[in-house]
Amino acid sequence: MSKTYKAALKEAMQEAMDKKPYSLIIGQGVTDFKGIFDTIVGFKDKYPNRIIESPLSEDSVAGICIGAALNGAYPINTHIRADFGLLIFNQLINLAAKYKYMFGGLFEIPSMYRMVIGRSWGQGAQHSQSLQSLMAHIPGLVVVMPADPSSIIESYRYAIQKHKGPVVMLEHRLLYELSFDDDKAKLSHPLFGSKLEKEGSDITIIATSVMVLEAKRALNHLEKNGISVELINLHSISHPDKEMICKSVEKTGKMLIVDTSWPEYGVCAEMNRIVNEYNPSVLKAPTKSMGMVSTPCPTAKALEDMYYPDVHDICNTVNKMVNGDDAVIDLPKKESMTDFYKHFKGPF
Amino acid sequence: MKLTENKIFKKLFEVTSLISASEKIIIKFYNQDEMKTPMHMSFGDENCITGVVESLRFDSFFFGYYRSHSLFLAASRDPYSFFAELLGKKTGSNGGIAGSMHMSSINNGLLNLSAIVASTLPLSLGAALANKTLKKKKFTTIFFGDGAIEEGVFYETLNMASLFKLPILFVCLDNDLAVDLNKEARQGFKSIKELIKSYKCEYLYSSNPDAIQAYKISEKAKDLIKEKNSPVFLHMKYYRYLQHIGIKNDFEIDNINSFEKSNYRSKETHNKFLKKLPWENTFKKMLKIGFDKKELYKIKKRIEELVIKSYQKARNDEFNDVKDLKKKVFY
Repeated sequence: MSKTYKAALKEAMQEAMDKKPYSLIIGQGVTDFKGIFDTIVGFKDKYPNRIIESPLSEDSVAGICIGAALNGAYPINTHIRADFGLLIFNQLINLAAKYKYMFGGLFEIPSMYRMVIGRSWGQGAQHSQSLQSLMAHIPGLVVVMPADPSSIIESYRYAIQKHKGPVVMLEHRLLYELSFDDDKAKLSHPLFGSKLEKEGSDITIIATSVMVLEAKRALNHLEKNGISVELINLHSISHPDKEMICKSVEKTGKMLIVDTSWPEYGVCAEMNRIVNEYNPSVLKAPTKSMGMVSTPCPTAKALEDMYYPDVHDICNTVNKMVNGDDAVIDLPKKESMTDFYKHFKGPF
Repeated sequence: MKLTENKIFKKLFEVTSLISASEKIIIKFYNQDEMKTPMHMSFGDENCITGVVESLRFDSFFFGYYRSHSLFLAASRDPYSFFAELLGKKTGSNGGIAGSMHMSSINNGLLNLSAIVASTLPLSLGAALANKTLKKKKFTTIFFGDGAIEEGVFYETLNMASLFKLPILFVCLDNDLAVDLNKEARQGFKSIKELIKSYKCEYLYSSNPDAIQAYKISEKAKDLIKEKNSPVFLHMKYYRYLQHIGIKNDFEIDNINSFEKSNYRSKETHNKFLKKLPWENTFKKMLKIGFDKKELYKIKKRIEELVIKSYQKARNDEFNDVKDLKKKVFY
């Protein structure tokens, strides 16, 4: 049975409310008619004391979440754009992430921070940032980028019911309205693992979030051209399945990383670190990284289409890595994801 | 003098003596360099904090900041785990990992001390929110300095506490200084009182109280919170005897010509406050209300002995092992 990304989010939030009696959802717009992009619409009527609309005070709301977690609640803090999440970095990094360690292991901060990454329809420089590597850098934080409904259900359930620390869930706005069929591939761990989406032999693609979807489209096209791709959905940015990554690259000898963010000092760099520290000789060719162009995000559509890699760019890169620079295959046309799926017409 | 009051006042005297004696031990042994942790000394705030903590011990959680010694000792009354923590020993209140700026005493309701100015204000509000939502009887108390009022998060927290009518006591320990800067150089508002009064929050004031005065005004704050079920701001002025950090005052001979030479307050004021030390204020008040001088000295001596023994015992304790380094991160 197919399910949309946002329906899975709603299911996860519903489960948090029903199975975790002390869960609270707090943030701006949690009681409005849009209900965080239709993931908690109607919750305020059902749980009047547990859905808390906040003033424009991100910094202190994050601190409130820590204090509430210390005192027995399970807070879920929402940000309709990850860019607003930057306003909570003091609390998230200086306090939540360190709380257990800094106080000698006496405290737990079970809590969740949902941040939505924007893309397309002119989201621009401050509504489109993909900040996973900034946060995954910090010991004590768990950072996850679920790429499909089953990953949402599994990872949110585990985070809310079992994990005792802060978890950042980076959701992708472009995925919200999309329907996904039942998934046969499974996460190796809900929070501390990755998902082997498809086995292959010529090259390993490691993708995050919405780029898993784009990599899947590329993979279908490449198969028709005789290129066998192994695809890993990284899922946990802070705690990826290193063994899965290394074994895969050992098998294929080639690695392409396709991230939603900038390649420098980020997921792309980290994947290279993992493989090189495992055994650099498993690589039969230089690795390649694909992500946003290293500029702030432009608003103009013509520029934005150049800013994000698409299925054409992935196929072109894979073909060159597998068959050499001069090899020619039939490539899909250049087309942005939003044009392809046609569902996202803004404004948010 | 009522019997219960007698008991409470005696406890106040014991705790201020404990804080005062502990700070003296730190000063005495500081230069041995065994306590390797940045220490924001409490010398000056002991009456304010002792009074508030004793008044609210069974009604409130406590959150604090890096000027931590009075708060930790008032809450825990435990000089041994205090010194073990400062010395970085396994037996410290937080396993020697926290040091002076992050101690906690979970069994006594002290849930946090943070080195980032104003950062624990919203945490205390979150605990208050959970108290209200989960229908717990307790409220929360947050201690912070006057410098915290200049941070944005202070206004966010005060706004939400007032808006949501949360049971919380804000205790502003106002020494007019943020590090080495006077308030005139930092604050563009007219007065803290006027600022707070513009919110739906009660305001109480106290200046250089003895521990009994601090206790009494805290009792008043507690009654107000219970009566109105909304926030109260307790503004407590006090004199900081030492520099922002470390054990030096501003006028010691070895400060001269060094970068630590102060220029932000006068020697006259300092000398004036040296004549009315907080511990002595409480001592004099105790005599005035009928306590026996000999008995008080006996208490003081007993506590001083306990403090030095605690320090020596902690010194002999073990340090953490290397294998402990990676423990206690969240996963």
